[in-house]
Amino acid sequence: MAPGVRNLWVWTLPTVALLGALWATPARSQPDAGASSAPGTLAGNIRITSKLAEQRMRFRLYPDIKPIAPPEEGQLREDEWANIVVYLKSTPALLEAQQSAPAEALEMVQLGETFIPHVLPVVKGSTVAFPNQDPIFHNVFSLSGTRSFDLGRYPKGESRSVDFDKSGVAPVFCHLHSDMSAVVLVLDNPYFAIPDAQGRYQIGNIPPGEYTVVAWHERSEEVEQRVTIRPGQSVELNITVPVEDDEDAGP
Amino acid sequence: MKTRGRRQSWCQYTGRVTAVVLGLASATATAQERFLIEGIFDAELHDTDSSSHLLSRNDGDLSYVGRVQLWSAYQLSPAFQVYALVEGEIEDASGETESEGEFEQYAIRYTHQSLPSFFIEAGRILGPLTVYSDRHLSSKNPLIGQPSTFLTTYPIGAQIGGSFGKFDYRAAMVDEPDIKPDFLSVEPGTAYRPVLGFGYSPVQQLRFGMSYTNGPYLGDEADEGLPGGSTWKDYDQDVLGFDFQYSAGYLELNGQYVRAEYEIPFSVEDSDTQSYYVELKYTFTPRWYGAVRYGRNQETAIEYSGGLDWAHQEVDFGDLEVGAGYRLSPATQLKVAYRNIQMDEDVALLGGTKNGHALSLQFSHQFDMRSWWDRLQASSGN
Repeated sequence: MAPGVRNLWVWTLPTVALLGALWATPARSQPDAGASSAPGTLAGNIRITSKLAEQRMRFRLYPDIKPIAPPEEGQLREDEWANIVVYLKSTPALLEAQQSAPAEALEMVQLGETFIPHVLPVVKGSTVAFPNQDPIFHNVFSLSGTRSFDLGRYPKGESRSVDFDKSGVAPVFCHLHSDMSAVVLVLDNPYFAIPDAQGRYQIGNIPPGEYTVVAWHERSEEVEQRVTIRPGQSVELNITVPVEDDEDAGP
Repeated sequence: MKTRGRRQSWCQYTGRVTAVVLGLASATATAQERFLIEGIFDAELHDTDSSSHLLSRNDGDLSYVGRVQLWSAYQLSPAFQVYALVEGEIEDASGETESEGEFEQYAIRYTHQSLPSFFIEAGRILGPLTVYSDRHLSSKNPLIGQPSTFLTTYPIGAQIGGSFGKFDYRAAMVDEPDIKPDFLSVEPGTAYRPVLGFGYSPVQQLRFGMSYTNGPYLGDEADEGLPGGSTWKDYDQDVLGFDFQYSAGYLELNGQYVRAEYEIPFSVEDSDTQSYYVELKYTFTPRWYGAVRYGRNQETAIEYSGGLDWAHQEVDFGDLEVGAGYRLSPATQLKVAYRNIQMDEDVALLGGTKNGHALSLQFSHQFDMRSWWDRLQASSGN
């Protein structure tokens, strides 16, 4: 090969490679609606204090004439993580993203003189049914500012429903059994999760952005942390409820 | 060493047996609190007339009552609980402030783990005959007063109770009469007597009940005025009662009827009495409700004036209470009630007819001391 031709190849190949690289690099950094809005995931572990994990003692000074057996194993989650809700505070991006999400029809069952589940997170606009599955009367009511209602007394097999159109906490009680209580947590958006029996939670499909994550428990102050969700990425965030020193932490 | 080994194994065996008996072996793995303290605080204002036998307070001047009822329970095991109810009250009477406190109830309760309707309790318990007693706490009572005759008692004794299908039952031995005449000048003594109760619920919203007791109703101080050879324990009351409860939607209806016969010293015939009340409550909105209770009481005023001087006379009166309640929160309510008692005839033993009325206001708040502690911990933890 003549030296001139060889020199041409020597210069041409790096030049093409460089041009190719220059062409390719800006292409990745160019705004791309599909890639930048790829939703992310928030996941992590919830730690709760041993004090918070204790189940309350049930006692009635004057027992019912016909008391009902408590829920059987498997009918009710007994771990306290079931009573924690991890959710994202609403931002314009979340509100926009949730518009396609339909309001859900949900249930809070009265079984074994217990509301199941004890904590029910719902999206604003949802309807919650309160079916009575006990062979005795119940009278579900709430006096909260979120939603005030009294469903009256109804027997086994009947159900009454309530629409929750305002976000907030709606403690629910039974007029007949003062030790029955539950909470409907009405949230502005569907980006929430209840941890599993190991305390692991995951919220998926989150539009990229900066958010405030809230861990809520009825007997604790809300725990808030900031988090940034990047497109297509999964962010790990562990939260302790309530906040405490590590050496005092329970399960 | 051998002795120690035997002692250890004996101790282990005893420990296991005790654990099984107390139900510890069936305790769930979930941490469970074993202790609670709950209570109710009541503050009342009363404006009554000055001469009513059953309603007058503070000589007819405006009077107040402050009351705290605290109950505590400790779970020995899933099957056994011990509990106590303490009541403290302060009120003004004739210009002076009076206060008193008392252990109203203290008992141990056994609940069968696989048969939750079955229970046994022993100690100072709630009188089992008067079904109203289950609703006497201000958080359950839709009005402020209690129905005449059907007053709450706390006798010492033991009772078992339970249900099977549409039937329920209670059986007790208690040391005081559960139904006491309103106009009896002798303080009842303590003597054990049986109380039996049965219930039938054809449908969930309706229950019919029946109860019976028989036992002495006089007390020690009557002994010196009795015929020779007899004591106060020879004079019985015989009580047969019927009750019902109905509820549906926003309506609650309760009622009880008792017919009681009293053996009266130096009287050939027993004295028959009949009393009943009917109570209706209706919830208008989540916060507002109204209630009315009407009772008719054909009682006997029994007067012992010392020596062999016994007298008795029929007392017939109607007892009406009407009121409304407003729930400030699930645990807090405000009630106002008007009560009127009208006697049909002049009762010489009571110094003439003594009708009366009372206008009352009650603020009540039920609390759980554990939740206060939780809130304190939560706020300090953050």
